[in-house]
Amino acid sequence: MTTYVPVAETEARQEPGAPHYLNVTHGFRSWALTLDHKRIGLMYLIGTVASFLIGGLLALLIRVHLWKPEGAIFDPELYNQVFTLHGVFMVFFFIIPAIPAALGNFVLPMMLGAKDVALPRLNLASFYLWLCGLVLATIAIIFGGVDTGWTFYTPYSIQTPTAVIWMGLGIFMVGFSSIFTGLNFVVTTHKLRAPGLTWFRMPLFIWAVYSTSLLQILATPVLGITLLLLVFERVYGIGIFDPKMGGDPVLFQHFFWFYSHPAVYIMILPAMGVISEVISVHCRKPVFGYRMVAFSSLAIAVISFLVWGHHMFTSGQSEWAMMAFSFLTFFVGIPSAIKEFNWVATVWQGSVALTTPMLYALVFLIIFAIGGLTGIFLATLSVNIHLHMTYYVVAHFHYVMMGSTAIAFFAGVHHWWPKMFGVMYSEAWAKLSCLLIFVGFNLTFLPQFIMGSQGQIRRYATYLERWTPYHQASTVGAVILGVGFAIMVAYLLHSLLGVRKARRNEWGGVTLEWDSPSPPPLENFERPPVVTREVYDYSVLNPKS
Amino acid sequence: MLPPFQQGGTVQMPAPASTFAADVDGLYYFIFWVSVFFFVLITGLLGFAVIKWRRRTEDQPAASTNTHNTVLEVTWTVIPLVLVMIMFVWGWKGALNMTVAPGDCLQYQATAKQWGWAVFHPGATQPSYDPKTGRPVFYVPAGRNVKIVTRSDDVLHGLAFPAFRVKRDVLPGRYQSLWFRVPEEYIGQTFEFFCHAYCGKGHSEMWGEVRVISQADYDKSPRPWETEPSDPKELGEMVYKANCFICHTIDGTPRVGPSFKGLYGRTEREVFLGVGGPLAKVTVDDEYIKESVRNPNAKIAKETPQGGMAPWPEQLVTEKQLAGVIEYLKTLK
Ligand code: HEC
Ligand SMILES: [Cu+2]
Ligand SMILES: [Cu+2]
Repeated sequence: MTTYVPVAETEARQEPGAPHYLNVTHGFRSWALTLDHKRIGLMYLIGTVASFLIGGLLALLIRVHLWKPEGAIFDPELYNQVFTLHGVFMVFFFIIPAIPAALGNFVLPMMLGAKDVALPRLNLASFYLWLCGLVLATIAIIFGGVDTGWTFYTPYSIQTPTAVIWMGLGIFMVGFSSIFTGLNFVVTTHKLRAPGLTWFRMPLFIWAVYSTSLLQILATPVLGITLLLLVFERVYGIGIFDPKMGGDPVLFQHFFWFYSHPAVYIMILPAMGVISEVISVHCRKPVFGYRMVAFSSLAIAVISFLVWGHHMFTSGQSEWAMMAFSFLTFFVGIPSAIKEFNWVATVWQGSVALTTPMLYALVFLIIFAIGGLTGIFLATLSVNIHLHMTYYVVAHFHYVMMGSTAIAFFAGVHHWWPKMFGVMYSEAWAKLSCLLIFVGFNLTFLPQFIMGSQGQIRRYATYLERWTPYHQASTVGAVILGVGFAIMVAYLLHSLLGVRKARRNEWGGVTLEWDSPSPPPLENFERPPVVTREVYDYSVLNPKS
Repeated sequence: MLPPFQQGGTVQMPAPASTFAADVDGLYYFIFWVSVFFFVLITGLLGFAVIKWRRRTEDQPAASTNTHNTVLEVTWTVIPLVLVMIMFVWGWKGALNMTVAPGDCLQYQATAKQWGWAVFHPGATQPSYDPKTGRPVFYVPAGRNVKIVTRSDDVLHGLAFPAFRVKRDVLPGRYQSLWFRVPEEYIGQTFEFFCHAYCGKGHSEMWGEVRVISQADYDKSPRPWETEPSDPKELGEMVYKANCFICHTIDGTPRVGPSFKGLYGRTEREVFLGVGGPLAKVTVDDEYIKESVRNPNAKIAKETPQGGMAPWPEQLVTEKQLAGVIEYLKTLK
């Protein structure tokens, strides 16, 4: 059997034993004070995955609790804390930073052909801000937990005796970490592109992270201000949100969703970027409608600022506001639909390799289709009123957040793992775990759609007898999902032993990061890259064609 | 296949028990079938492509590097756009219908507090509960337009009627309302209503019932909601189940407040005289109970120095009911 050797690899053979970013320096200080984007990315990877595992464990506890109508393990007070912490960890400590800060940090400068991000010190500072946020959140848990839900709606969040202030400050910190990362990436994209890398030669992952960064910079300050106001409200009683003092509790919802709707796209846009890369490489084909995909990222970023009211259709907003928010929500859905079609068209007539990253990408395409289509029900005013605050919404956003963003994150992790560590994981185990995750995920959340449209309200510690079979199916699904992730952790850790070394260009990619040894040297490339080809030009890999 | 939950319902939807339901369900199923179509299309094409063009040799190039097809791209932009605009207009019209109540509505009131409902029928002076379970109950005449005006005494709550497809947030400091009409064929049936906005510990217990009755039964005297147990102990038990069980148990375990077990008749009960006030000893008698209910912060149980119980005015717990509560407490030895 002849091994297929991509051209990029024959050009510059890796010198065995040459130092790379993991082993150029040693010791705790060399990591704690590192300015290398790759090491910072790795630290984010460990941090976000740890948060994901904590959040996932909490999710399992929730599902086990809901095995019985009267609740199997917690009293309602504790249950409320558990679902709040699950949401806070998953949203603020995992999904928002996962792709941009962990994968983005590692991959973005390399894709641009740069040695590092434009502002390496700010990059390290944002990691420590994230860590401070995590510490504050842990303090909040020790000082009595939080039971407001991740949305912190007033006036409950003003009145509850739990540690809302600590948690609020923690998320404030994480918010600034997110702003700094965004700022850094925007500057890097503008300033550090390799010679010849014009805007329309940039891989779509960069376009996606760039759009995300704009959102992070523009939307996150609103979250910061909102949480500070909440803290002031609790400490000084300033009366902005508290109706007893003439404040308006619904104002909080406006502020909160003015950030948190764009935040939905902070979560999904980079995921879309990962999927574009993975599909292109593993189908060895340029992404169909490249410019449409790039522009729809930007379009989504802009319109997503104008739809926040769709979370509040039953709050008593005016009919005209309802109309505008519903209309714009449909409108922001169209670019996502276009992307989905573009990806399918990319697979069409490709050279489809069923590798682990590609399997995750296919899982993404299926789940994101369901996530997006069920979003249409929620955008529709009269149907929204029936479904609002039910399990239907829970299922919908898990299809988009967990089933799409998290799955895309894991597609990316498997795609760039050989690049990051220079080792390959066992594809057999990886495919098994991918299958378990796919089955477990759907078994967990499909029943929730039905419960929801039947009227089961969310955030209930106990429920009516008749929902039992649906809740139990969902719990079984969650356990399967948990087993899938446990296997993933096991084989990924095992791969680090280095039983199987990765090739320089493991999958045959043509973006710049593959034009570097695995793992890359400290300065990313052996010689400064120059881009002479159009983006995703795979002909170079195959001289015969 | 899965059975529908309610008579007249489907696998996905509860019984269509209001005049809104046909429109909402029609739109729901329209979107559903459009979604099924696109889902099958997408996954079908994907599955076909993956099988047909899967990589057989390691150096197999893509079968085509085509990245544009203007006709195709315009088609898959315009068709979804047209479809969602239909959904948008249809949904907006339906929602307008829900938000604008007709002028001839019977007007009910629902007050939410942590964690229970006080449901007032038109002209009623006290809230109505199921005499046995203590659940709040709406008696609704079929064929009449019914409007429910809501308010909250503390945090956000929500009033949701899945079978009627309507729902409205319940806000402190602001009146909000919703309306519906139940068709005659549902006379005799009972549906649930729920609190949909997260409000703390007792959130999932804030549900009650809607009983659909005929206009004749609605007009009968005494009105269906005016009957309450005549035995004081049973009356007290009903009030307990309706208003107090979420915070007070009767088995000795403390919840938000102290348990009622063995409370009545205790001597030397230690209480604070107001939040931050001095400690004193009292005997738990009729007067103490009455004061605890009408003005809880006058004497606060020692275990919970911050208090935590909102006062129950006569409008929510009548004098007669309070006397019943005392009789009931006496039975909890
Ligand atoms: C939101 C929770 C809550 C609800 C609902 C509630 N209580 Fe309380 N109750 C408390 C708390 C907390 C205390 C202890 C603080 C205090 O004494 O004010 C308390 C104290 C009491 C006491 C004094 C107990 C003692 O051991 O000295 C009585 C009597 C009482 N409640 C009666 C009632 C009755 C009757 C109802 C229903 C109509 C009711 N409560 C509903 C929270 C609640
Ligand atoms: Cu939104
Ligand atoms: Cu509630």
